[in-house]
Amino acid sequence: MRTFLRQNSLSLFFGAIFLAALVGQSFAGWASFNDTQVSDGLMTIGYGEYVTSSSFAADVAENWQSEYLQFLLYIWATVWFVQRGSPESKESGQVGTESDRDQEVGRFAGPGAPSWARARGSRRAVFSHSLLIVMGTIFVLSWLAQSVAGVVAFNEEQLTSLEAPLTWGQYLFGSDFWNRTLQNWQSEFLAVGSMAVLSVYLRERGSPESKPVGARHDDTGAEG
Amino acid sequence: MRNRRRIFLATAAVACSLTCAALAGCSAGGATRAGAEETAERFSRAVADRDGSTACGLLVRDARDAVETATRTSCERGVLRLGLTDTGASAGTGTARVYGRAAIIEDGPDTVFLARSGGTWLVRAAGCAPRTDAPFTCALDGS
Repeated sequence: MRTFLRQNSLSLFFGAIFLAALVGQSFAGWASFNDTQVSDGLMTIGYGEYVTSSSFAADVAENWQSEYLQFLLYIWATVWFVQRGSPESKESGQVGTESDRDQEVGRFAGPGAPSWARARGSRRAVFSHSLLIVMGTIFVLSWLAQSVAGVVAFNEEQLTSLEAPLTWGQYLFGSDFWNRTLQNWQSEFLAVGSMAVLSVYLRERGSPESKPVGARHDDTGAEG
Repeated sequence: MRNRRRIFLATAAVACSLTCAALAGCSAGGATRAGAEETAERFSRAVADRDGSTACGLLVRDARDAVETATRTSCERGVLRLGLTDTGASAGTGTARVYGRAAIIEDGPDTVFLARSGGTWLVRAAGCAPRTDAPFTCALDGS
């Protein structure tokens, strides 16, 4: 057990703080929703009803889709683009999907390599892009969830203001959906871009996300 | 094999969560829609029967206040002076659409807006006519 905890501490740590933040968001959102109910002269709702509401679902999904888009683009972009001096980047001569030898697939796969890395045809192709596939799928599903839950939450506000509701199609091309979407996207892209650039000149001793403290600024792809 | 199964289960759990989140956002089921239509119908019938007390009991607080402010009398008397015609819901021609805890029953110039308080639907606005690129204009406005 102790070994499991030590060897999986990174995922366990982020899993725990994710759950804590999600629960915290649910209580803060519930309180805010009920404040609005009271100011409208309506009865408050229970916690269970709030966390199964379109309002909560839209708030969660809009954040999830942008996070997965961020990593989807980051994973893809680091195949084809480089940042000189960044530990997040490959050397400029390694742009692209690289050779089978470098990627240790097929006959170049070492002992203990995943079986699909050793396989031929579609299985190797799918496994070679499995990270993008899964990240992309989660992004699409969460963006879809944002749009479906978002149109209901938006129309609930529309009706409160005595305005006509929108169809899902109208909402998809409307300002509320794209305002929610783009305000999340801009922050995600800024964070990733900042990381790529700041890691050229700054260090965090011991982190694999940083170059070694004594590494040169133009040293690309080095990990601490 | 065990790792592939873990990855599959984790991905399936995320996909299921997202699907549930999307379904949670879908418009309410028939029972909720029926409740909204029933409230609109009861309100319309109360106005038609000159039963101001029942009609006011079906209004949200802001709507009752709006009636009293507009007519300068009690809600029970004032709601009968607003010129509200049959909403169309009681005639069975109104179409109820529910979004979360709000609903609309559209019937031309007799559109009704409702809000859910606890397990009960209440009328927020009635006698509403649509306007281009603007909120509805309502004889009874509790927004």
